[in-house]
Amino acid sequence: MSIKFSADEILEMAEEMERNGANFYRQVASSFTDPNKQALLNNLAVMEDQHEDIFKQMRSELSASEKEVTTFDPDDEAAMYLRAMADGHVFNVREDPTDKLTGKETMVDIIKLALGCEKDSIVFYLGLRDMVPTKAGKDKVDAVIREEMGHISLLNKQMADLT
Amino acid sequence: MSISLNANEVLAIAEEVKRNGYDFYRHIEKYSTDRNTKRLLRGLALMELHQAESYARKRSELTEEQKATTHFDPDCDSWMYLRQLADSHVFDVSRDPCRTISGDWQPEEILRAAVELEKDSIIFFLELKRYVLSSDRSVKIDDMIKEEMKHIALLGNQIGLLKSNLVLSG
Repeated sequence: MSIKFSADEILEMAEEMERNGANFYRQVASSFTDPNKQALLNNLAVMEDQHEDIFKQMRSELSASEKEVTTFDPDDEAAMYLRAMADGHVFNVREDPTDKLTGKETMVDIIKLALGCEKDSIVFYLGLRDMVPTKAGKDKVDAVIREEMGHISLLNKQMADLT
Repeated sequence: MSISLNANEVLAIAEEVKRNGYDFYRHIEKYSTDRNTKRLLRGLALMELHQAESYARKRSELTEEQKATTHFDPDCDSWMYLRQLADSHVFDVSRDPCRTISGDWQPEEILRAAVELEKDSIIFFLELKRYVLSSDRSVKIDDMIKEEMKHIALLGNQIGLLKSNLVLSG
């Protein structure tokens, strides 16, 4: 069975992941009174907004032919990787992390949830990177991946301070 | 902590990650009751082993110059830090997923535990990439990451097959 998807579909999913991420950080920021925690979480939200803009722009720059659904060989590993994610077999790309919130989470709970989301984003963008046709596009995805790695370092440091 | 790693150090860590991966897949394979899932997990264990052997071979082919430590680290702090990171965050057989995996787990749950640990190994290799000497072109971390992505694709594909079988039988 062949594998089918379009660059438009994948970039739209990336936009949604970033939008969900930003909403998540803003919602949890508002649940704390500590200004340091609020600042950390709001800063992360702003960075996710910027990533969403990057993917939105990349999507708007796709040519008509690049937007079309492409059929890949079923043995194409890069396509299989991305398809498994887009189909939700690896994790649910379209899941809104705020749905998991009960309002009773501690900072440690929130960091754990955030780390999971950041990891999911990175593994998705690695697949997306392989599909982006231009070098400039790949560089943009690499920059987003590096920033998401930075978020993981930041969250791990916070976790270490709390535990 | 300022760390930079040469090819010898990176390959040694990668070999360790792969050997941990082999142990992990052999461990979880025991708990899978689905024949195809069991076969996949056994296949992934072998892939991990072959990759570990390939890194060991590449290491043995390095010149003395490539093996020489390129930074002042008399107590091997950087080495210890990364080794701990590899042992504790990637394929740690003593960690929760393995401890809690039992005969009660459905094949999909076992596969999802494997996906989570493959994701961790990708993050680990991306982290490792930051410490590789930019002048050292003999180690290709991107290829190591590609291997992990391939494992995720195989695991995801099997999860998809299990789901469609469930729909067909339901």
